[in-house]
Amino acid sequence: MMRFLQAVPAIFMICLATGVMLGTTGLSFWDGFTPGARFFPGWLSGAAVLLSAALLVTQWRGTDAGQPDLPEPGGAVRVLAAIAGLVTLALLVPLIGMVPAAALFMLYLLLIVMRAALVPALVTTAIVTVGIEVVFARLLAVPLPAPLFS
Amino acid sequence: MIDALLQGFSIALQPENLLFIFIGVLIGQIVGALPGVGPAAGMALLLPLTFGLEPVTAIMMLAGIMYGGQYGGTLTSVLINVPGEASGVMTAMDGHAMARQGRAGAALSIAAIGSFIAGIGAVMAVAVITPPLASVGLKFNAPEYFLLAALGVIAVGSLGEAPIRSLLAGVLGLMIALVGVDPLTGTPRLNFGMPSLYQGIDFIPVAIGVFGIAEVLTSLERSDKIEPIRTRLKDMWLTAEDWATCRFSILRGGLIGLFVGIMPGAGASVASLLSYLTERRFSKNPEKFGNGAIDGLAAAESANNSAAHGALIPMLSLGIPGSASSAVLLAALILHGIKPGPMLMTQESTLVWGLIASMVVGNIFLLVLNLPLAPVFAALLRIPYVYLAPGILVISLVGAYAATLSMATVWMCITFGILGWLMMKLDIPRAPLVLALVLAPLMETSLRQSLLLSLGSPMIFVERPISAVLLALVLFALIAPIVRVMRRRKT
Repeated sequence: MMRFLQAVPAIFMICLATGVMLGTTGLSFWDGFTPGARFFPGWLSGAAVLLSAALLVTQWRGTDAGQPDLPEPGGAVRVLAAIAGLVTLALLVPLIGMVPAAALFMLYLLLIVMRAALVPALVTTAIVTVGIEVVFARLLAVPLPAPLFS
Repeated sequence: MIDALLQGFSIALQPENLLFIFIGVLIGQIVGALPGVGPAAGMALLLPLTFGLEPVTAIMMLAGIMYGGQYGGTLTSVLINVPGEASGVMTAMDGHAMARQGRAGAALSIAAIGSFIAGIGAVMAVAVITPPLASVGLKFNAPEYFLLAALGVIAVGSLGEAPIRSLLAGVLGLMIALVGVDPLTGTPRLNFGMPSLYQGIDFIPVAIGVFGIAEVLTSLERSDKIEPIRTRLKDMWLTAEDWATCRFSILRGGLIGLFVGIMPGAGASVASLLSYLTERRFSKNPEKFGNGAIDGLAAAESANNSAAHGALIPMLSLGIPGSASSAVLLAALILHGIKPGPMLMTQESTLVWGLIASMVVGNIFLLVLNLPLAPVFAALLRIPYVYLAPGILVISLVGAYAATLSMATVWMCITFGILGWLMMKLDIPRAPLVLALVLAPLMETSLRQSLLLSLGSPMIFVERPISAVLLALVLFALIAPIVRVMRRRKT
């Protein structure tokens, strides 16, 4: 498992390099005397594959200095729950507005994910959401998405 | 130079600028003191908020966060043994050992004084070195710019412990910058027909995601509450022996930090490590290192602050950032409509000299904040991080939205936050990605312009004297880690 995780960056970069080459197939590598739009992506993809191969070789030989640092199961659950919360927040913003979505996200993260005490969690949420409204919406006049109040 | 510096002070001392320098160093002090949020993340988070300010005021404030973060990071390193940044590791080793011995105040004191002296020295060096270096930069053309940008990306990897991983991160940053349109012909490239990608991937969501969100996600893994060691104002006095032990450590640390900071990509962490190791050689009590050596702490802290300032020299004179924080500062210049490069000294002399003067003012503010007020900031560490993390995440996303008024930026922030977290877990350094992202347009444009000038011949990189020297440096940066690995294997 650890060996596979160590190889993940190299595999990812090889896939990305392939994607870049496939994504630029319609562009020219060289235009007469000028390098074309595919020139730099082509060289970068080559460099990515070369470096990835070098990384895989060092890992195979055991000379790679990198040390993956996996989280504890509990920590991983908290991080994944936070990521799920962030995605939900981004989905909710166009529906209910930035400030209500931010408040819901904070309560979810504090009360459900981090198991914080109720009163401090409510106070923290209130401070941050009011702060966002005052600083961004009022002082900086940023038109935050607010379909509920439009 | 004296006239220009005086003019800089007249700008920095304007009430509005003074206020924003203070706000910048205060925020820097706070983000540096909060475990998990470094100066680069703090600068990236606040960058969108500076759009309403004058460029010179905005840059002064953001620079304040950059060097203020170096001061603030000392608190977490000394009082809870958690370095906020890699540059604080050496500080944590001896600073926390001193704190456990009841000398937390002395540790914070010498760190603040060392940082101040080295910081002021480094600012003077910025004022002296930047103008002549910018004059050399005026002789640069496309080949030199390509090689300089390439050196910036490659040197980060070359100097680190894991060169291949760093270089891969750099290539990833360059690949991210490919998205959008071809910079020379305007041909759409790698945007997959998505309108939100036509303008390319903006720097702000990448920096906020990779530094800010990723750091907070990592901090959520820990559920343990760390109790900081308490410190009082009366404990902050240094003895005559402390002074005698540290005076040359501060000088050596400052010089090493400045030298390392100027080198593209090396940064404050290499500077603090190098000065710590050097100081151990010079010390009369090398056995104390790791167990509360005040000279080791003084050297490491002086070096990291000096390096943070020194990184501005290549940025201001050549437009090449020397660290992740200076990359954010460079991006801020671009976003404020200022073109970085050797012409910056002549075209925006008010901004450059105002910034240099502001760093003197900012360091004075920081000395005041860190000596009598250190116990107040130390109290910040008692706020459970569980209550800070959700707020930082939400403000990051709202800040990113405010920069572009587009939800696509929010999605990019989340995506790059996850990428940054995975990079941290898989031990891939994140600074090269951000440096490469900033340097990518210069690198691609100047490479293709060079080959256009030479009708496709790569000899243009060898025939011009300056580019030949830069090419030699690039090759050295590529070969050095290979030689290092081979030597290590032999021993």
